[in-house]
Amino acid sequence: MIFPTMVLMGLKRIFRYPWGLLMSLVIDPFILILNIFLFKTLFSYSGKADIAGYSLEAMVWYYACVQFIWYWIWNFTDRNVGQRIISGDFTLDLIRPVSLFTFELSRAVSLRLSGIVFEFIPSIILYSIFVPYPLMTFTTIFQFCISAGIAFFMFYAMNFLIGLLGNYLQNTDALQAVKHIIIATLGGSLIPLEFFPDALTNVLIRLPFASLFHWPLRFFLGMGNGWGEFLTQSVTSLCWLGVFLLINVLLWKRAVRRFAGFGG
Amino acid sequence: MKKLHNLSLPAEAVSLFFFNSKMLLMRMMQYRFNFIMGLLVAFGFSALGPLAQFMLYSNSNGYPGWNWDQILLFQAVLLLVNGLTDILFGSVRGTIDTLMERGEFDRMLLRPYPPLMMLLTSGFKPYGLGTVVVGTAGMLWSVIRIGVPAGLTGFVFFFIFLLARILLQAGVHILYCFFTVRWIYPMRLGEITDKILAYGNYPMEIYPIVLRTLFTTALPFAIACYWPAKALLGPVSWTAFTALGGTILFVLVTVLLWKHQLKSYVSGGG
Amino acid sequence: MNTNYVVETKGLGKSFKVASRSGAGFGAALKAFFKPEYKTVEAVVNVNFKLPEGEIRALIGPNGAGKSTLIKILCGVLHPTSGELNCLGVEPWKERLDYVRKIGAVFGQKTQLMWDLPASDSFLLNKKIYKISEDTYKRSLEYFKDKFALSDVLERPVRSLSLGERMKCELVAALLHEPALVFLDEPTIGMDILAKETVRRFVHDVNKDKKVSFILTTHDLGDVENLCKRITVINSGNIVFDKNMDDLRFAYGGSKLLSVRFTQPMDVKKIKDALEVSEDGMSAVWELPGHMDSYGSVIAKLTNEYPVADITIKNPEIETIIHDLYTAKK
Repeated sequence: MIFPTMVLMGLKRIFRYPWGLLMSLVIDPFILILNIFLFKTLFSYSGKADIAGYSLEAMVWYYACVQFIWYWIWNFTDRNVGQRIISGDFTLDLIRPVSLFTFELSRAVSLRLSGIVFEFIPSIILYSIFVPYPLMTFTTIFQFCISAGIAFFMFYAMNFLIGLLGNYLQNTDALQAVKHIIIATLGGSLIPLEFFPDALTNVLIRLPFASLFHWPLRFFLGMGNGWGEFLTQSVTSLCWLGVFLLINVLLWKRAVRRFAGFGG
Repeated sequence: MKKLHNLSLPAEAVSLFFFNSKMLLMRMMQYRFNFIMGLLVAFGFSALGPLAQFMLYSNSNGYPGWNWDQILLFQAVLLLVNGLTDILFGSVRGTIDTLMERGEFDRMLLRPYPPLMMLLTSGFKPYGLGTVVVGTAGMLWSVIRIGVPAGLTGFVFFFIFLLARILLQAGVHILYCFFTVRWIYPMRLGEITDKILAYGNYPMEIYPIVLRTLFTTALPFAIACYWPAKALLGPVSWTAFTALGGTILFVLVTVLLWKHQLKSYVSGGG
Repeated sequence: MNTNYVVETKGLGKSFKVASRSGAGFGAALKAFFKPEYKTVEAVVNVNFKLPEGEIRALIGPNGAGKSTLIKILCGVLHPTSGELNCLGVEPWKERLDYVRKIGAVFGQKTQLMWDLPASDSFLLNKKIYKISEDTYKRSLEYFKDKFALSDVLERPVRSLSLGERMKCELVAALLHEPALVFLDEPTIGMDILAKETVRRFVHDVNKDKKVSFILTTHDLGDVENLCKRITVINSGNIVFDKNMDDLRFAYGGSKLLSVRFTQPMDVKKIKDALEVSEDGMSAVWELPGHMDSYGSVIAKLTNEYPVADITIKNPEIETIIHDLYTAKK
């Protein structure tokens, strides 16, 4: 099987730089401390027990979970593919008897496996020690892992699509920035979608971006409405994933035809 | 590459900055769609911060000692200073990363300018303009609503702290360059830096008294936005000037570290 | 198309639309931003090319001639704008994944190896990707290790290897899966003479032992002279020459050069019809027709007229011939 071998090679490359992995352990405490101060102040000054349905612990954990989701989904596929198109190294990708989609997916998987082991797990332990969250159970963690897993593939499909558009746009930096803005605002990583007006929230939670952050966060924080909602939402997310995959398949042949590969 | 002019070093730096900026703009304009979209994104993205703050504030009472107009001013100042530092130094990290990754840093050492000057003057990022515009608009809006209680003195101090903020950012980038030249692959250093600097993005009142004292005096976090905003709102405490001193000291240390690292720089292979 | 050839093209063409700008400077950049202009570049024009099985073909041309574009079309990376193409029985870009299993490629300026890991890891990955059996893999690796003396090199990260070592590993990676056709795009670029000789010997041996066909693009004419019997020259997208090396010399380098060293300095004005005369008058060069039956009479005439110490007859440098080909008008 080719895919496990490619993932293993990717992990080998990551472990060549152990300091990079250890750095991850340093970043979370900074975020944790800042959020504790920020939300403690907001809550005590407001005199309320919850803000838009989020308790103090839930708010701190909300932004912690945003970081957790990045540990599950982040990859450089859009940048990698885009840069290789501009530099002409895309040529080498096309003479490899493995689809580029699969190849880049293996890189993303190896990156995220190291992220889950060296970032997600230590972070959950750290937060649990300093800000215990009573609603966190094995069920919520399980539901989070499934929905974050689907989010990983969706984010990957989005990034691959943007990378491919490099055959049309040459430079996709701005498009990558647009993607981040859309995900931040419409996905719930900047602020919980419940903070928007109700009518807008009802629309946003049905868009694919909510599958990236909003729903995994809800399940992790124990704010979901049981297994029924979890299963419904998982199927919806998988449908959205299917849409992105279909767009990728349709675009691939056309995009590769446009590849120019100037120079020797 | 010959020297552009026979000017003093600061004047040379300014001249070099404009020269590099022009070159970068020319390169960016080669990709029309990306350039236009980038500018639009910069404007849109800049509004996200205040939007998030508004949503948070409208669902709570905000920060102690800050009403909504003052928070808006704070946000506007944050956007303005971030936009300015982005315009001046936004590309420095990317430049040093690329040079070290490709083993091209030696080129910097062959040019007739101090390498640090070359790095800091190649940081132009035009997308910061959007943030500056939105920040300036926000500031004007706040000033219209609440005026400038500190008067003309407030503006003077505002500009002094603004310059200090720019100096602080230069120091942060010098430190980043130091580590990158030392380690070659800085990995997530940039992210760590951003997370640490984020402590300056909020009013200092959110921190316990000990941290608040540290951040507003010796450690220059408050220079990031707090003191510039406070300068416009009221009389500036004398402790603000210790923060100025802390900033200058920080920058001097980073320059010394850089010079030390340059002496022990080991170039890559053939 | 004839299936005796591993590569056969008919009327192959490829054009690109590229941005063009008049003038330099910020003003020109601004003008191009608001009013972009484009021009069509015909990179490959009406190329008819055939490669029999087991041949090492040189594909050369000046910079910008279209060599790399042609190679990329043959690799299946680029789609031609016109014409027909058959490589190993398929149209490369249509059945790309199956086709690339049967070819190998080395691009001198790009690496296919994983930069941070030893080359042996990249070989293992290729073993999986190309579905190479364990026996074939071991046999091939031993063969290549022996040919290139690679035992010390394979376990070091690629980024720590010298250019010569890296290029050897690239060649191994391209040949491990026993492809029928291999593209070498400037494989000896930047190498010292010993490394070049090793690579040339390697390509020659693999061609002989394994019957692998090679298409070699290079600016080093030593590669061409040492490896190739047949040479294809491309210029401005067109094939301008496509024959054997001997035909090349005959068609374009029909003359021979006769060098004479004198026993004493000669008055330059007294040396008749020479192609060049040294400043000190101690030597001169004459150009002779390339297809004379005998040069004895010429030599006798020269020794009668001049005090000759030494005579050499040689073919013109291949570089001279190629230079003439590159600069010849269409």
